Amino acid sequence: MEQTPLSRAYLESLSTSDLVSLAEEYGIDVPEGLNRRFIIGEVLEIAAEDNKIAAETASLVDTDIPASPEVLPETYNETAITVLMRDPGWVFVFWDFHSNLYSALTGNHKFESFFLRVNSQGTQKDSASVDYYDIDVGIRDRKWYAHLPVGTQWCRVDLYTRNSQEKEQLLAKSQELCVPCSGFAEAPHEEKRKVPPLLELSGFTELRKSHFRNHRQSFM
Amino acid sequence: MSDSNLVFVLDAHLPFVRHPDVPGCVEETALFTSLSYTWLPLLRSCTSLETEGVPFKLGIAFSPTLCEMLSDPLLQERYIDTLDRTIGFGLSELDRCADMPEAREMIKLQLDLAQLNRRDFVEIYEKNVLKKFDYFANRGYIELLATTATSCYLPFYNDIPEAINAQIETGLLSFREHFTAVPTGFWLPAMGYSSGIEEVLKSYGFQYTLLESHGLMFSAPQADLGLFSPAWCRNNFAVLGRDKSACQEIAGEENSFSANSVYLDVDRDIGFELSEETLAPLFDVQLGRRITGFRYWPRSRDSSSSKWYQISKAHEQVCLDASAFLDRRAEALAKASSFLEGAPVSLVCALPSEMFGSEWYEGVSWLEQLFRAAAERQDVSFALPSSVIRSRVSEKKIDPYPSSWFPSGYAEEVLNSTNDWMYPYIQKATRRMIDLAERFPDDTGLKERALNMAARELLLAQTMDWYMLMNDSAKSDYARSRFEESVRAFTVVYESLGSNFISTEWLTNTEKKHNLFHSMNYRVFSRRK
Repeated sequence: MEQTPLSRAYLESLSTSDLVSLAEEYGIDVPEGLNRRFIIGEVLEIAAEDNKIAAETASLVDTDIPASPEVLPETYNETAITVLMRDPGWVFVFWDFHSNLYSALTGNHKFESFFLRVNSQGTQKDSASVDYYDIDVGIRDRKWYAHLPVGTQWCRVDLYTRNSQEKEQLLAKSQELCVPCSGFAEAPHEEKRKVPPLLELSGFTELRKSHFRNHRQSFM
Repeated sequence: MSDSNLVFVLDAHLPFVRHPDVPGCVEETALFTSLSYTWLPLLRSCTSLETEGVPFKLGIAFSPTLCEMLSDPLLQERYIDTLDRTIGFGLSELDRCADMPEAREMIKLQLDLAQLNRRDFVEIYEKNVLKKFDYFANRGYIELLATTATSCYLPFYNDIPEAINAQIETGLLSFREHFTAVPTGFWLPAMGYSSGIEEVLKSYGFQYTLLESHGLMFSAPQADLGLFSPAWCRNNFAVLGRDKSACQEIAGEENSFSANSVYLDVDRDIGFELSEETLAPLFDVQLGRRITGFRYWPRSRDSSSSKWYQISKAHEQVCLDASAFLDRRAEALAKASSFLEGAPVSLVCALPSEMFGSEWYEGVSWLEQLFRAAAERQDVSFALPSSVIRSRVSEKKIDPYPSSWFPSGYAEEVLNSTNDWMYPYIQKATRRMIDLAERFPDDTGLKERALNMAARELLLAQTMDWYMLMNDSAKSDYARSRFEESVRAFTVVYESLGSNFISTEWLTNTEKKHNLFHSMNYRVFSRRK
C-alpha cells in the first residue's frame, strides 16, 4: 500500500473524526472539545519523534501533495516561556503550553489562574532571585510586557499556575537576561561627579537628560 | 590622514523583494529608486572626484539582500524596462505640458537623468553597479563593511549564538561573492548592540563596528574621549560612536539641511497625483501608486516663493549646507583637539543610504560637495573608519551600553503591539533550524536542498524590515505576508524532514522565487562544539 506522508497539510485535509481516530492510533488521549490544531500538533510531534531516527537516515521522497500550510500554527504544543529585552526598563514575555498539560491544568476544579513571576537576580547570572513580583495573566494570554524593577541586573520570568488551597506550581522558566546598567548611573538632578570635557562636548549631558525623560527606569 | 577627521558611513540596505510572477509590482520600486537616485548618481560623483583628483573617503555597508537584488538578472532587466518607460513617458509629458515652461524644465531634468542612468547602467556598469564600488574600494576611496545576511536585529538572538553566527557567516559568504575587498569593519543592523556581540565579531576577524552615541557614552567605565575617538572593548575590539546630533543636522525631520524649503519635494510625485489613464504608460496603478521621479515642486509651501523647483537655487543651497556642516564639525574637532594636546580626533556620521538621493534628492550632490569643500580646507578631512582606529589615544577598555539607532534608542520600533506576534514564530523556527543542522550534518541531494531552502527562508523571516513595516498601516499587509510566507516555507521543510516526503515542484518553485544566497549552507546553524 502506498504510504501517505504525515504532514500538516495531509492532517489538515482529514475530517475531525478521521483525525481523532488517527490520534488514537498514535496512543493520544484526545480530551473532549480539544480543537483540531492541538490534535494535529500532537500527532505531528509524536510521529516526528517516532520517525526521527528513520528520518535522519532515509532519503526524501517526492510527493505531489501540496506542501504549504495555509496558516501559521496557533501553538507549538510545548510548555515554554521566553523573554526579550525591549529596553532597559521593559521586557517582552511570551509563552505557550503543551496541550495535554493545559487541558489538565485548566480542567482541574481547583484551578485559579496562571501568573508570571518576574525575578530580579543579583549581579551574577544563575544567582538566586533577590526580589520578584507576580502578574496574573488570563488563560488565553500568551504574551505580556513586564516592567523591570530599578536596579535589576539579571532577570528571569517564570510561568506558574495557581490552584486553590495548593502550593503554586512552576510550569516553565525563561532564559536569564542581562539588564544593562551603565556608568552614567546618577540621574541628571543628582549630579555627583564632573563629566569629562570631551564627553560633555559630545553632548553627554543632553543625552543623559533625554534618556532620563524616556527611560528613567534604567537610572539606578 | 590629518589629525581632525570625519568618517562618513552609509547603511546600504533594502529587504529582499523579488516577485518574478508579478511584473511591475510596487514593492520592487524601492530598488529602482535607489539605483536612479542614490547608486548611479553616487558612482558618477565618485568618478568625477577621482578624475579631478579630489580626495574622498566613504564607508558603505551593503547588505547582502541589496547585493543579491542589484546583481539579479531579472531585476536588472526590470530596472531597464522601468527606465525605458520613464523615458517614453517623459517625452509624452513634454507634450502634455507644452504651455508650462517651468514644468517642461523639470520634465527635461528627469528625462535627462533617466537617459543618463540607462546609459551608465547598461553601457558603463554592464547592469551591475557593485563592481564599480568594489573598484573604488580597491583604490582606497571607499571602505566596504560586512553585515548580517538579512538585516537581523541581533540583540534578540543574544541567547541563540548559532543564529548570530549563521547571520554573520552567510553575510560574509555573500560579501565574498560580490566584492574582492577584505572587510575589517562590521555594520550591526540598526546599530543594534547588546553585550557580547563584540566577542563574536572579533572571532570572525573584524576589528571594529559602529554604535549609536549612547552605546559609547553610557559605557562602563565611561568613555572619557566621548565621540571624538574610537573606544576599545575589553577584547580590544574597537567601537566608533555615531555623532547622533551631527546626523540629525543632516537628516532630522525639522530644521535639518535636508529639510530646507528650496530642495525638491520628493513626496509630491506625479505618481500619486495624476490619473490612472495618464500614468498607464508608466505603470499599472492597480498594482499600487509609486514614485516616478517626475516631481516639480520644492518643499516650500510658502506662496510668496516660486511655485516651481529651481535647480540653481537648490545647488547654491547644497554648497552653503556642505560648508556649514564642515564649519560646525571643524569647530567641534578643534575644541576636542585642544583638550588632547593635538592628539588625533575624529567624528563619525552614519546614515541610511536612501537618505541620499531617494529621500533627499540633492543628498548625493551635497555629499560630493562635502568632499570638494573639505579638500579646500586644512582644519578637517575625511577618513575611512579603519584608518581612525589605527591611532589609539586611550588605553582604557569599556563595556559598551546596549543600544540601537532607532529613535527609542533600543528596540521599541521592532518590538511592540503591532509586531510582537511574530517573535514566538521566529524564535521557534530558529531553534528548529539549529536542531535540523544537528540532526542532518552530512546530508546531500534533495535533503540538502530542502535544508538550504529552510535556512534561506529562516534568514528572510529574521529580516527586521518586516517587523518595522508592521508599524506602517500602508505596508503591514505586505510585511505580514512576507514574514508568514517564509515561516510557512520553513515549517514545510521542517515537517517534510520528519515525514520524509516533500514536493520537489514546490521546492523548486520556492528556490526560484527566493533565489538569494546561492552558496547557502544550512550547517552555518550548527552548534559550535
